Amino acid sequence: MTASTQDTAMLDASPQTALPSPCGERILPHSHVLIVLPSGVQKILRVSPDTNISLGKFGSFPSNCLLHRPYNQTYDIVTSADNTVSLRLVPYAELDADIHGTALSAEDPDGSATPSSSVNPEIYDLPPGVMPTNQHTLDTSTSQTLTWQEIEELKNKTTNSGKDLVEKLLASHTAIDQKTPFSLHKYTLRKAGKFLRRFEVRKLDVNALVEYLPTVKEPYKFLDLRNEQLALMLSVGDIKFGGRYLVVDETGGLVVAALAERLGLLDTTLTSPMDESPSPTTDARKEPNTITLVHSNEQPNLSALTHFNFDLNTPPPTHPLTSHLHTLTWLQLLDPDSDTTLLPPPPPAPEAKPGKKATYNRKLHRWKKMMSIVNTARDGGYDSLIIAAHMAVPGILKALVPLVRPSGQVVVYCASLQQAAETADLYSSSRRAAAVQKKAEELERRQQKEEGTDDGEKEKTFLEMEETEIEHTDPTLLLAPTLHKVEARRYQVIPGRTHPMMTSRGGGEGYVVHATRVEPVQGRVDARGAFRSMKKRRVEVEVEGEGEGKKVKVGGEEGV
Amino acid sequence: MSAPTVDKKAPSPFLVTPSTITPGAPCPSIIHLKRDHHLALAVKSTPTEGPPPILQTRFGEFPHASFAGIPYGSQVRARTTPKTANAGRKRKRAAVAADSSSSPSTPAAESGGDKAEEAGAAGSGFVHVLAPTAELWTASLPHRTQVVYTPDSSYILHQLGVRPGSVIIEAGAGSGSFTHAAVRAAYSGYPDGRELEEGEKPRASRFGKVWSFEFHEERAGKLKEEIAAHGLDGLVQITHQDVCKNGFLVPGEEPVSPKANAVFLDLPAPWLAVPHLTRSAPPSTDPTTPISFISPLDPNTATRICCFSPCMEQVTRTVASLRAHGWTSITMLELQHRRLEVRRQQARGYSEGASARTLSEALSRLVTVNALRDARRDDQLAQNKQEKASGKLAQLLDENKETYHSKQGPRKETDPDEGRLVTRNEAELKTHTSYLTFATLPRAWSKEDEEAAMREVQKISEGVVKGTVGDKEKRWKKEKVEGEPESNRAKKKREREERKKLESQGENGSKNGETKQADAEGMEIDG
Repeated sequence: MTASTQDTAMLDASPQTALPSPCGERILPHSHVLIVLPSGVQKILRVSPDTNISLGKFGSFPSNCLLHRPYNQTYDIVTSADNTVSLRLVPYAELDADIHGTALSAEDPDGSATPSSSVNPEIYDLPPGVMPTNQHTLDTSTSQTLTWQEIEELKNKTTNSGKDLVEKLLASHTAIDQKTPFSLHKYTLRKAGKFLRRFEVRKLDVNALVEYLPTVKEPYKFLDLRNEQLALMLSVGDIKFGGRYLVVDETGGLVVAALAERLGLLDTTLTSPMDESPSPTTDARKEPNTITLVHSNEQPNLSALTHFNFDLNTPPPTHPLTSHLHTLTWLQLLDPDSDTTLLPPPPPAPEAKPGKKATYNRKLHRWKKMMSIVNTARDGGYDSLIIAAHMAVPGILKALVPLVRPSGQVVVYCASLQQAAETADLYSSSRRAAAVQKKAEELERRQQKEEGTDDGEKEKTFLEMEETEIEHTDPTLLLAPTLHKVEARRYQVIPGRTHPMMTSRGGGEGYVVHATRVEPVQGRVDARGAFRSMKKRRVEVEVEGEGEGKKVKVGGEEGV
Repeated sequence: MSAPTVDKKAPSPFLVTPSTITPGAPCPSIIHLKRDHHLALAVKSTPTEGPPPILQTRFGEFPHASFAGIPYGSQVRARTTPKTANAGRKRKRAAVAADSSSSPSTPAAESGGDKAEEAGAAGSGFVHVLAPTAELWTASLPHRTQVVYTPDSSYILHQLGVRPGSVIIEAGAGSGSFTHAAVRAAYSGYPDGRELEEGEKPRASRFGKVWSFEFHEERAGKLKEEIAAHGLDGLVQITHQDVCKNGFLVPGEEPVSPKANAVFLDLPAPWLAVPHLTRSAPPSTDPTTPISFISPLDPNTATRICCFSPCMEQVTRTVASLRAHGWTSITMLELQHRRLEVRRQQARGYSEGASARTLSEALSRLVTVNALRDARRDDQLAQNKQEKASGKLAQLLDENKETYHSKQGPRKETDPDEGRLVTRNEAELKTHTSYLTFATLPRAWSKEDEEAAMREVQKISEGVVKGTVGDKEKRWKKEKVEGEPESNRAKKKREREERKKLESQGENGSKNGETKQADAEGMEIDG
């Protein structure tokens, strides 16, 4: 479609409403998209109207060419003779032929592919059904007769997005007929990845973002989080639409983004921002479908959310997250009385100017909202607690586990096995047994002291606690802590050559610890059921099991 | 503990956790006996006649009434069996009275409840009662087929991009474990609004749904019953149909299309089902009879698919079929999931009847053994010579009584912090579950769509100006870009150069200094 036909189309459409407007999922203005280049390199771009998008050596194109066109399609950058650039949607058949070649048809899954026309069959002189090998292939640097200057020149001249260049490269390779179909295919793909001016556009979701981030950021900045673990956390965390979730996220907002996605809060067409018709009071109001984030700095780091057009400092009023994401600091949560940011604004003098009064009202409104968030959070009753933090986990658990409702889930992401094991060990059966005994003794002591004569033993606030005390969790509150390790092993699926990938990303591998919040009964609980089988398995290095001779024993639970 | 109103169905406890357990509800609660031992129990209400229902476990007996009305997540003590049904009822009534007198979450009520319970509480034994979740259900459901376990289902749902409002096709429903995980991910409210409070507006603009297909009639029937009992009706639709033969349209007066955004195939031959998942009619062999075609997919969004097959041969055939039908970004992987046990490793020494903890312990023990042997030999010799024993042996034995004699020493009371923290794999590993093949089918896109998109772009912007690219590069090279107004800086520079040129032509010594000054000023202004 040339510019002139466009214009006429516009003129013809004088009653514009008659023409159907585009519907469904497509690349909307100002959205972030994931671009996959032929070389496999990924890029995240923001498609704003009337700008120029540059893809480095693959060329650049006007962003308007991409707007309102579909995702998951491949586009060719086409430069016409008058030096204008447009994007051509590549039909699937052409794409498939380019990637898989004619030599390797999909109907040939067992790999005995027939050599393509460019491969000289006489060289092999093989009976049918026997795979050609690289026995006769000579590797020299002179095989390619094109010099780099010539290639550069061709690159500048190319019109059909680099395809003729790739063909020329193949044609001027002297040993091309010695290549086996597989190696020829590989060679073609490699050259295509280098010179083809083509890219695929994908929708940017959390899955794609997690996949992309390690290519641009140091993995430790987001705790080496991968999709396998994130997916597992969302499942064992029992994240469902309508729930209330408490989050500690030091991965730059990845966990919050994943939760928001699962709650439908990144989709502006699904949920609308909550209408705040009943003006916010300082009372606890348990709103469904919310995320409460506790953070250690004055401001939370939620940089991942900028990819979904959400910035906490200037929350867009139309974004569902604006009203469904609550953030508060540790101090505001644990000791709001000693946080000066939570003091109500001083009321203005009665004779103050209207401007001052308006400012006061605005501040009062904000304070009420903040107090409501703080009170709701302190009131607890959260459906799940999700933790991914650099901070020491025991303190977090001590502070936040009581805020989860009984039967709610607690999920901790740990970047290292040691941290994960230590977290699970906090709720080991021997610890639970000791805690149950201690509690029972305390209860008895209190009963002996007679009720009513309260010895004024007040619980310490978190600010008054020593560091060791802060790390001292209550092991009776979590049931069956489980340590998961999950890893994806990727495969190459080219017809006839299915095998695991030769290399993959190393570095940290994350672990997920998961447990269920429970409410222990008051007083002494004895277990039933003897674990005789444990005795049989006794080996030289004894592992800790149930203390059989103990007075207080937590049954129903084996060692962690 | 208000009884559910008859006119309004309660939402599924799988999706909206109720505050307390309602006896008589068909949806099961999960009884946690011990790690990996779960029991799905639908808590029955106590009948007016006949014996009250009792749960028998290895950890004791639990009358259903002991679960009724308590919050999920509670630890429950075992009870002694009431001698007569009458006595049991009386006790139960007392417990209910104590519970209803005040809200159960306050400590006062708990202690009150405890007192009432103590009459029947057994000496030992307890269980935990948990709210049902997809994971707990997977762990406790009746296996009818191979189950899709949580690590796989979580990754599949994440990769398929299932989120509230999504519509997902599941073929090969099997035992229903994936169904429960999928409906949780797709759930965005009930179409009949049963989860909302009176007068509340629906929270989402569209409702997610799972369209589940199963070709085994008995399994399909059982699953239907389960879904209804779990309160997931309206969110999950089970159809007894062979999708490989008959496709994904739900039969009725007119075939209904699920309009799915995501597809999960757990079938023995997924490549036979893939041809039904297209956007347009397949090329007909007989062009004279036009076939009416309805796509089971949502035409307005891309569709993601996952095929779950254990064998590599299945994968290659599926991938070939997906390629032939226009699916892109095909990836394949398998998940390796391990559960690790965390333990405190405590070395036991000689005193506990085991071996040496350290090298020095081993050495000192060997020295002692030698000394004992020597002493015994000396004693023997002395006895042979009819002499009196030296008493050295007795002394040595006495000294090393603890380390040498106790074969089975007393077990130490262990400190939770003692010993080295170690992890190891669980006893039985699931080394391979299945290969996961993912692919995407782009949304339907016609020429009309393309034109509509062009018009839309014209409306909001300068239009798809097949803009000349390279202006930026030109600017860098300081070439003039056509149609762009000259910048002040460029203008000044040009004027200055022109002036210089003029001056150098009319060489005038006296004026030279002035122009230089002017130049300097110009520079300053330029910054």
